[in-house]
Amino acid sequence: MQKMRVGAIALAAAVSVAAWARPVVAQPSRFTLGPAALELIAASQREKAARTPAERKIDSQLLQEMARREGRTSAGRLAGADEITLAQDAAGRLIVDIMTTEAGAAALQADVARRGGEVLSAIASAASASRISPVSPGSPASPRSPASAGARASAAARSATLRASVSLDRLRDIAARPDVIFIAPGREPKTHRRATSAISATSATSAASATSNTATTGSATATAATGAPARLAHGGPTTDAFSPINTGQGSKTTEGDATHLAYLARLLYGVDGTGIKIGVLSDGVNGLSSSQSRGDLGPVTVLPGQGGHGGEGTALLEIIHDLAPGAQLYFATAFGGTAQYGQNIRDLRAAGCDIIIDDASYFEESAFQDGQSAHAWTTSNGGLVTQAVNHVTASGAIYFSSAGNDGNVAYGTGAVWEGDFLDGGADPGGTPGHFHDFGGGWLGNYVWDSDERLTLKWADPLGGSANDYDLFLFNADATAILSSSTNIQDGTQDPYESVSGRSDAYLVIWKSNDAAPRFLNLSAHRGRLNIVTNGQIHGHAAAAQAIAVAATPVAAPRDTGTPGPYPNPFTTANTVESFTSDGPRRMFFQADGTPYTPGNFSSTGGIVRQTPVITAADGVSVTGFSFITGPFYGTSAAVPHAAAIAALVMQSRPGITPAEVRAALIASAIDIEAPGVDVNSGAGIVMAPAAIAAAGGVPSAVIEVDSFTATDNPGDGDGFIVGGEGAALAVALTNLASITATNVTATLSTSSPYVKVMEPAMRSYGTIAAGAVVNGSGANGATPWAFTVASDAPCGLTIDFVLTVSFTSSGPITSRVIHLAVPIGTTIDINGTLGSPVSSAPSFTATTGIQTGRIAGISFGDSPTCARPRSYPGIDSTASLHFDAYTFPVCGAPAVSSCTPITLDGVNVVPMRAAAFAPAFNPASLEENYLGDSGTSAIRQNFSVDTHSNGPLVVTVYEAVANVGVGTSYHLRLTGMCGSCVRNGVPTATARNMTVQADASGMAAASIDNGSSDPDGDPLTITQSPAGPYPVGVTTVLLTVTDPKGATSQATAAVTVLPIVITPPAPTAIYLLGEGATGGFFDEDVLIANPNPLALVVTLTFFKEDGTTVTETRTIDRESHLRIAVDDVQGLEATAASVQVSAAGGYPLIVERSMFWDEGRHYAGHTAPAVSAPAMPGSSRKVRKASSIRMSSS
Amino acid sequence: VNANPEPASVTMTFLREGQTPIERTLTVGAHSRLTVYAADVPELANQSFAIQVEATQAVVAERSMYFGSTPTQAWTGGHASGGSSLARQWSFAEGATGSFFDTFLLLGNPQASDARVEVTYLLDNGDVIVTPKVVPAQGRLTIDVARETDTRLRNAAFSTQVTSDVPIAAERSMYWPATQPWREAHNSAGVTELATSWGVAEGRAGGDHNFHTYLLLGNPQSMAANVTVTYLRSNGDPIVKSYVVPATTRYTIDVNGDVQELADSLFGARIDVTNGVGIMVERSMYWDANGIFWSGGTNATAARLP
Repeated sequence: MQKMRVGAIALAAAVSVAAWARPVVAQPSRFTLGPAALELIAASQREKAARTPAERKIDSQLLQEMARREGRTSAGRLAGADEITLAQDAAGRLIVDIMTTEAGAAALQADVARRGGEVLSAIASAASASRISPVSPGSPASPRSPASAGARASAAARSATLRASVSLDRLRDIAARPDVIFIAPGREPKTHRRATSAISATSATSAASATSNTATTGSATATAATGAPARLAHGGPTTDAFSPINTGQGSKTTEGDATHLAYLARLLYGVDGTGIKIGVLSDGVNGLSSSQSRGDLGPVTVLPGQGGHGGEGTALLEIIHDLAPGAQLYFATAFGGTAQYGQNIRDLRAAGCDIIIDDASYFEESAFQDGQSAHAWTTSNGGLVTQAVNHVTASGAIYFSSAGNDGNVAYGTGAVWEGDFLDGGADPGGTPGHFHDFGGGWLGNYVWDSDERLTLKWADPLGGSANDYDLFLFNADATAILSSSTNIQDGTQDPYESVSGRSDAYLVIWKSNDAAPRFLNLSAHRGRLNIVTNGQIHGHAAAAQAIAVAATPVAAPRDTGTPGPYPNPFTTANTVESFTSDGPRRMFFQADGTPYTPGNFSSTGGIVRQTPVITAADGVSVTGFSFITGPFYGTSAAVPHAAAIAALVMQSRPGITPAEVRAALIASAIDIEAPGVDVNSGAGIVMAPAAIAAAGGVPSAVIEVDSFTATDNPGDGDGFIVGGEGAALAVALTNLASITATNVTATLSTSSPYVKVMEPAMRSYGTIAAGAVVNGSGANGATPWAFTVASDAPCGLTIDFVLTVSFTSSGPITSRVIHLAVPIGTTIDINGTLGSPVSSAPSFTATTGIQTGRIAGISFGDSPTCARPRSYPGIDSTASLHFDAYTFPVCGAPAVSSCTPITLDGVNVVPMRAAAFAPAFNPASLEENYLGDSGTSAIRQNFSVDTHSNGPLVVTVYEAVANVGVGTSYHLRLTGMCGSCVRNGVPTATARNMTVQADASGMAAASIDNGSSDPDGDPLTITQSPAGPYPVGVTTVLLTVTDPKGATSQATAAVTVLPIVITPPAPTAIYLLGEGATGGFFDEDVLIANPNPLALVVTLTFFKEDGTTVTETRTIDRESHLRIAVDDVQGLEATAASVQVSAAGGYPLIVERSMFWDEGRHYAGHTAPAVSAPAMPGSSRKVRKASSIRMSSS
Repeated sequence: VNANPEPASVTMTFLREGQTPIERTLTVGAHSRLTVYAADVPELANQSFAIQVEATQAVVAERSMYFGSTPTQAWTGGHASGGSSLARQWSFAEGATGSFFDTFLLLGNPQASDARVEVTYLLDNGDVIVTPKVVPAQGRLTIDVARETDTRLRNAAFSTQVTSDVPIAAERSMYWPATQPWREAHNSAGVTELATSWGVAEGRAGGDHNFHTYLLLGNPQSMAANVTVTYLRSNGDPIVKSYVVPATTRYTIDVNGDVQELADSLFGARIDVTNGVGIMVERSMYWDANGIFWSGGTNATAARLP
């Protein structure tokens, strides 16, 4: 049923979306196109018909701008009403994209230059796209392309795109070139970040702040430095517990690292993205070096000349680095036109990127075609980016794209209408054409708000549309056309019209009489339409192998909806952001323009593709160098989370295919929104551990610090650890995995030169079941570690303890290293009232007064720290302001600098600030001795300063505006203070190696102390471990000396216990051999060895059986051997004789006798050693000799 | 042998296995030696026995044994051994069983009461085997090591320590080949104390009879002994080698293989422990003759050095 009336067309808008999602704009209940409006359409059609051949190759928006600048009333628009937005360069030249042939591109470049233009880029559209070398302006023009006028007949010719800045008045001349296909405004893409809303800015910041407090070591207690991360219960097979300690990297960490459990996945599977290259496309990498300097990013390879502008790319890179810090990162801008975008996608792949992501899309990207042939001569390049995505995914890359922030039906934020053209009737004025009916007779679709492009696309192939549609944007009372797009489609153009966005206006679709009905896509993109459908995701995000990522908030949603779970992980209770683009995507044409369903280009034709594919986190923390501070919202933030998780999956299983990664992400996602796969979240929220498990990963136990407490032990008993004191560190460990860890041990160490961890430094935690906690306080747990802080340790020292944990579980990971930051020093809390400061000498003294001026504030709210001190910024007010000044003495002049964290807080301190000076404060000159200041207005202000030993330190609290602060209560806290300036001396342990003899028990006691001492003369407690007595052998003994303050020193030495006391035998002078025989049977040798260091004369006396003796004298050299053949001694040739051997001087000898038989053959023999002294008779029946023999084998 | 200027009256008591002792009294002239042929004592025929010698003068007694007779060899083998005082602990560095050697521990108890003995074998792999024994009063006990209960001693190289609750005499004999009849044997008395410095006067390597010399070190202690051996040559500077003898282990130094410089020479050696661990040392020596491998062999307990 047509709603059009003769002479007037009524366009009524249906109101169906929730009021909260809309701007406060009153929608007219009725919209009527009167005769004047109809005449405007008629005029536009007359102008369209009158275009010259060159003008037909110029976008209608450019033609309208030409008319405006030429002083002609542009047909189809009311003077002064249009809002055409065209990019210009500094010289006022328009930025345009000139579609041309690849063959003609070089000559065209030269021509553009001759006409005063400047070619910004020239890129071929081929699959292996390459940049085209320009021809210098002075070079002869290339021969005109034979394809020129007859280009359409040469379908095989490849196209190219020049982005150039050209004066508007030159466009007709350029368009007249036969090698020019079309000239369109040079558009830039939109990135998919959503600026922080007022609602989310407060709540998300609050959440992040709370996290920060728990994620760092808790130093601000009165009794001890503690760390007590929140213990959070949640479900899932490997997610029994979670601690945000050590999530992310650098100064700011995305909360998505926790909500996606990427932190846990890194621990469970020992992955961090190492070996994976990830390429990012966004606007630019502003702030990259600043981010890197704070550890929020590592090295990033930026493709030459493709760094872009803006810093959203930096934010995306930071998120990836938080989740997958081992991944190698690349960047190229998505800006510079679709041709440049596609080229950069290909170049990132060529650089080796395994994963490529983007968060930017161009308005002209096709909704209905799966790419773009290199031979397609299109007027918008609407398929170039998709084609590049197809190229890199076909070569093995995984491509993630942000789904977009263009809204959805489910949350009443829709901005797209898709459906078949429905004839709303012809122009009653006779202009040849028909209006589109959005349903129910509504011929206009109300635009609630839009500051971007409004686009119309229909189901025709790129470069092949013969169905001429136009798009008009009317004001609310239909008295003016605010903008129109009236390009000609006569068979070779793209099915695309686009106008500038406006709110409180109506979009009207006009079809020429000859045009066939087609399936339409009308989009207000990030605006809002009144009559909507789903199916917002389009362009390359909907490419066949692309993974479009929807967004879900980690904490407060940007606009409205369910808050995210941070610091807990995502669950099925979470929802998408209300703005995230929905799917699905109906696709009619393959990349080369071939229809999927020939002849059917309506809502029953084409193919339907599920998108988005998955959902990931947004509303997260980044450094903010890229844009103002606040949570990073939008699907721009979601896509790097998903990509980083994919990198973890890839690393966990080398050789995994992109299809397997995609399948793992989908299969393991948490199902949210409508059950199963839905058009808002796809498969749901991707989770890192589950995705890796789905890919076949085997988890290990994850031992994490549950909490820790450091306190002086006993020190001075005030609970604060200062230099010269002994201290104790109790660490409770927990197991975050769902599998049990056994044989858990932890070894504490530190590289701090001021801290000594007492040996033994290893503690046993035994078995830690899944989710269990084993304390470190000694009872039913591990015992605390003892450590001593050196007397010269700086007051504000933060000790970096390294806890090396080893364990056994069913997974491959058996150890991990955990850092514990333990600050030392005392804390001073001052609860004051401005104008009435309190003194507490000698700790500090106070004054009050009036200062001149206010120190200029700090952008980013990024207060200075000792590592990042702030130079004096000057004053931004010369007002006289009340102050309280506190002066703190600084101990001595240690060679090392001292860092003092300062906090000012209180419910009414917003208009107050704190500043620090050293060694004095001059209220008349704030620059003098300036150290740093909070520089911001907040209920809690933090900064830290370094006095560089230039004490005393003066901290002021002052009002930011004159007379607003007097009488205001405040709390000022300084931590890391020195406390007493007289420090305890740490004793020195001195040990020595000891060698002792075992006693009858086989053990021996020994002290290795070698004069251990204490510089203060304090009595020392000296212990040894093991305490002894020590067994035979070498024992390494640890000597520990401790003074009354618990300050301890250790040294080691070896105790050697000798096994048996051996009494050396008395020197022997005489040796006797009883047996001896010579003659025809036996041959006898006496053998003498001289072990002495001098030659000796030896005498041999032979006793024969007849009572006679024979004496033989020989000399034996030092340390040598002598054989005496007895048969050869005169008088002993054939006899039996014993022999006595002695050495001059009674020196010891070694004497033996050998006898061989029979003579000459020596087939047997025997030997006996000499007896060193004759056996003597005893007073009783004393045994002198015993021997035994075996006489036979019986 | 009586090295004194006066005759010595000597009483010899033969301690038989399972029978009463036999006693004989003899005189050894001044500055002379006396040979006693045990076969001249009828009660000792076909007996195994120990001998206790008592004298009115300081004398030295040795015992030699010869056995085996072939048409061309009067005695195929034999051994000799000096004596020493009784002791509660005896240590033997050498000992081997298997297909070549038969090893016997021979314990003589001249006391009026039984000796309760513990025999400890230290294998070359560090294993320790302890077996209790009883030596009858005024009797002797022969232990065939290969027939001990522990099968690890069937084919083993070992050192041995014997401890007794009363002073006894102890020797160790080795006979070969184990495939009897035995052709040759050697015998040594044990040492009664461990020491850190030992010496041997004889060693031969190579030559016409292809002499082969071994140093046998036994370490019964619970820590390893660091040992240096100084080979004392007839000509040339000493040669020093270092060894580590693991705890509770018997250790064999194959001199021929380890000290190539001693090929075809005679030498002595001193053995010193450098880390204070007391050990026991013996030296065995074998040679070929008449085409028979190890036709002859001797063994000597090393002498303690100051």
